[in-house]
Amino acid sequence: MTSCFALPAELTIYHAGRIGEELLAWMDAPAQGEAPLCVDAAAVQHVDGAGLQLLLALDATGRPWQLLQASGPLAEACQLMGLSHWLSQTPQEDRA
Amino acid sequence: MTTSADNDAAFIATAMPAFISEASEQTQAIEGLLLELEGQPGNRELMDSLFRCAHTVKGSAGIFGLEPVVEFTHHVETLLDKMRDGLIGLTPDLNTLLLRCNDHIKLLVQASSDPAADTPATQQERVGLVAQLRQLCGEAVQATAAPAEASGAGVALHAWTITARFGEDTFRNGMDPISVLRYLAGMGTVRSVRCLREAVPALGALEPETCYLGFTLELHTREGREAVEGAFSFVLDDCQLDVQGGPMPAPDTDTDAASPEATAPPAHAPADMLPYAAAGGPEAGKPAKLRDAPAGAAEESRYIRVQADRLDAVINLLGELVIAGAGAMLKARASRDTELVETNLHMNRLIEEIRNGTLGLRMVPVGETFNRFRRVVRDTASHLGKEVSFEIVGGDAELDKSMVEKIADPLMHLVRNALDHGLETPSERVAAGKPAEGKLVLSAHHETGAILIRIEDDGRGINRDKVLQRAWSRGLVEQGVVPSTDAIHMLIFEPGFSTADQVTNLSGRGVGMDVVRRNIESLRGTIKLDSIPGHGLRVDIRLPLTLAIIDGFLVGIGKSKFVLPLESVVEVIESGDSDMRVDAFGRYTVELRGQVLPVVRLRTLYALESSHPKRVSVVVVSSPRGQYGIEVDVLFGQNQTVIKPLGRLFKSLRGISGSSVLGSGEVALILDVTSLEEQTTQSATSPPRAEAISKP
Repeated sequence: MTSCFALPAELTIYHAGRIGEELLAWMDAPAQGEAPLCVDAAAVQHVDGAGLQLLLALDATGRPWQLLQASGPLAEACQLMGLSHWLSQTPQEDRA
Repeated sequence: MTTSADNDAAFIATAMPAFISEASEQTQAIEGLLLELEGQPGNRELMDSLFRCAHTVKGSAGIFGLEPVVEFTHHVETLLDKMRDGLIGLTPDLNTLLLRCNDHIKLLVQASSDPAADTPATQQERVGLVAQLRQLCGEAVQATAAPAEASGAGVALHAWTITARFGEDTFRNGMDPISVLRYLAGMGTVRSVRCLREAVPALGALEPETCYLGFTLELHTREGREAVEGAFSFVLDDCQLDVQGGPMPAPDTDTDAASPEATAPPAHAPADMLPYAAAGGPEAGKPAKLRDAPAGAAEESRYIRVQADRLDAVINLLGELVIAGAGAMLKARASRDTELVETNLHMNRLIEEIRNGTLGLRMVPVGETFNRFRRVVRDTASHLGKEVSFEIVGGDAELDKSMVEKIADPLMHLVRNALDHGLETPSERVAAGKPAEGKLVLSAHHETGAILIRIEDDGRGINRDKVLQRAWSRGLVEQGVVPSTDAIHMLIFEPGFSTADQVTNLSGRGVGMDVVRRNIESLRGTIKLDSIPGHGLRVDIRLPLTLAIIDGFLVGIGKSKFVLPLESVVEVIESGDSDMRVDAFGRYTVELRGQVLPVVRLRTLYALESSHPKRVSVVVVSSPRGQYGIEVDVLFGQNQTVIKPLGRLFKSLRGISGSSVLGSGEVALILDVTSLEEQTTQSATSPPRAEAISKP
């Protein structure tokens, strides 16, 4: 099992650039192999559209991934945005 | 990226004061509306304005991310919405609750700049208020089903399909599609939501600060199209929005309203928003509701916020322009060039118009200040166990903004005074053959160049004998001397005149009646009492419309020029040296129609260098304490005077209120008739004040 990418508390536009770079570097790292990626969202306290868009962009890479332990704020944002299927903890193959 | 965060922080820091001032205006308005509604509970228009105010506070607090304000105001708004739809009737208890909530909103707004203001005690209070609000709303939800069924098609649920694609700069502009979604979810039931994510590139190609998002939302709500579109008002500039749908057939309505759980939204909406979803309104209410969003937008375009000091700078410059114009006029007249004179005349007329227009910009309706008193009257009356109907007349009369601010405290004191001392308790009133409910009227209207503010009550009036007794015992008036009734009334404004045996916790607030008078006089206003014992008291306050300009009467002594406020000038008499007498107190006097008139010699008072001419004029002026004369050499007549405040050096100069530059470039000092008189009576060997009052 590969290690998870832990999202920070602030999944917002203020940090979107940095998080995006880190996320990209992490998923391209050789260690990840072809296994489903896992993103740990337990720490997320604040999330905005730009933050959520990062996850959409991750999804858009076509790599299977899965969201773990989505915190309350992130779960709410996902539900509002119609992305509640991410919250069921199964790897995301379908890209609605 | 840090720069964008910094920019945001900087933006918030600069815009915050504007928000706080706007929010306090809105809460002020809410208070006024609530109190007005108390008198006319069914008034739809007031209800709409009330809702709009609360909505505006919530909206702008949202922009600044002031979650506590947004959250709390949301509950208030929910309740107001139900009241607006007629689901909850306005009772005095409910009004009290709403007033308390409004106070709390004020506190929260204040806490946004000063977190210490939100103490555990206020947090506790907030919890209590929210609980009450929610309970009221909850009750209303249960009550909904019945009227909805009864009126059949009365409640219309709309089904909207909303498709929105946000512009690239949405994030950079500080907006967030999620906030919009959250707001929409609060409006009703979200049946489905789909993220339009085709535009979002893969992570490697993503510009993190560019917005690629969009969504399609199916929303069931009682709100109309405008309200739905209103959710996008902040992002509309760079957002493609498509709203389709309309009213749904009636049967759906009932099931929805009766059991919101049955149609639980597929997308999660915060639990506390569910009752909101079930809130309904009769179709009849719709047109009014539709005004919500446009009204907000329209108001923005109707008003421009300008900093007061910028306006003052323009007014100052205009003052200079008036002087320069007058100077040019003088030169033109001297040149005897008719065309030049005519051109100058035309220009001066234009300057005057511009000046009047600009001074008009500072004018605000006094009604805003008056409305503040509704609350005071309400609370004070209930505290004192008195029944009062409070009426405001002519609230749209306008007054200079700085005056409005300065007049508020004295007015407040007079209003409290009328409630506390003037109006009797219901039982006393009935015993006196009056209706149990007392009447207090606050009115304003324009008189030539002045505004008259009147506070009128139908209480017991001033007890003339009691006042006189007290004045005698305090030595304000010599024992046995009986001044005119007006003069006796004015005694209550004397510094030493304490109403000690009547002081209650309401009136004894540190502002004595003498301070009231001083404040009003410092605004060049006058105060007059008209009392009918047993039937009430009328307090008339006359104030000049603006502080910047007066109609002056220009006089000269030697080479010096002085301006007297024209309204204080009564008449002018000729007098020779032989007519002037010196009385026992060392004051100059002349005889005017058999009365002794004290005369002020500015020549002596200010040690002016000039030879004493054979014949002088005495300008008779009226001050609050009576008439007196001012001896002058030359009369120049009436002129419009732009008042310039005196420099600090001259602040201590008594009897002078300001200066003015004349067209010729000369400086004239503006005499302050009231303080000039005090000056002279003091310089004499302290005569009893009552004697200075001329007897009729």
